[in-house]
Amino acid sequence: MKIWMIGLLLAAFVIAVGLVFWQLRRLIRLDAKARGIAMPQRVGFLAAGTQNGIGLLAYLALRRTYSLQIKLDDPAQRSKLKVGTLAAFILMAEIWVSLAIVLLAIK
Amino acid sequence: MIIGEQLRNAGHQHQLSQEQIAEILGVSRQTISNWETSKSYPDIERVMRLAEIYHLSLDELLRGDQQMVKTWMAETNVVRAGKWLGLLLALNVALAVALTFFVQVPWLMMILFGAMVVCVCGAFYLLLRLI
Repeated sequence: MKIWMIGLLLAAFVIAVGLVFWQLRRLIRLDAKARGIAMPQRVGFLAAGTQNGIGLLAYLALRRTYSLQIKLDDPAQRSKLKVGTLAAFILMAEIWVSLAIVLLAIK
Repeated sequence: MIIGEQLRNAGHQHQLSQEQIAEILGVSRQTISNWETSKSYPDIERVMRLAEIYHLSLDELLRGDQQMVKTWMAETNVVRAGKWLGLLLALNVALAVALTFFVQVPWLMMILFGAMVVCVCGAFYLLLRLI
C-alpha cells in the first residue's frame, strides 16, 4: 500500500516538475523576446532547466543590459504565465511535502 | 507629452543627432532611437544627463509620462525584491544547517522542514516577480 502510494506521489512529482519547467520556460522566452535577447527559445530552455534556480539568477544577470521594449511586451500573457508557474510550483511543493511525510511514516 | 516626444523635439531644437547624443551618453544609437520612439525608457541617471544636455528641468522632461514613472517604480520594486530574495536564501541555508543538528527531534525537524518549504516557495515567488 505504502509502496504504491510512494510510486504515485513520485509520478505526480515528476509531472509537477515538468509543468513548472514548461511554464517557466514559456515565461522566460516571453521576457527574452520582449527584451530583444538573441535566441530566446534556447535562453528559456537553459534558464528554466537548471537546478537550484541558478539558471534563473544567471538569466536575471544576463538581462540587466537589455531594457524592456514596451511594444514587444505582452503584460497580460506575462501575468498569466507567472500565475501558472507559481501554481505549478506550489503543487510541486505540496507533493514534495506529502512524499516526505509518507517516507517519515514508513521510517 | 511622453518623454520620447520630448527627447525628439529637444534633439531637433538643439540640432543634435541621435549619434551625437549616443556618443555623449555612452550608449548605442539604437538605444536613443528606442527612447525617442518610447520602445524603452532611459534610467534616472541618463534622464538627468539628458536634462542637462537639453537645458530642461527634470519636471519639464518627465511631466505627463505616467508610464515612465511606473517603469521606474517597478525597477525600485526589483531592488527591494532582490534584497528579500537574498534574505530568504540565507534563511534557507540556516534552516538546512539547523535541520542537520535537530534531526533526532521529530517535531522540531518537521517545523524546520516546513519552514524550509515556505522559504523556498517565497524565494521562487520573488524570483517570478523579478522576471
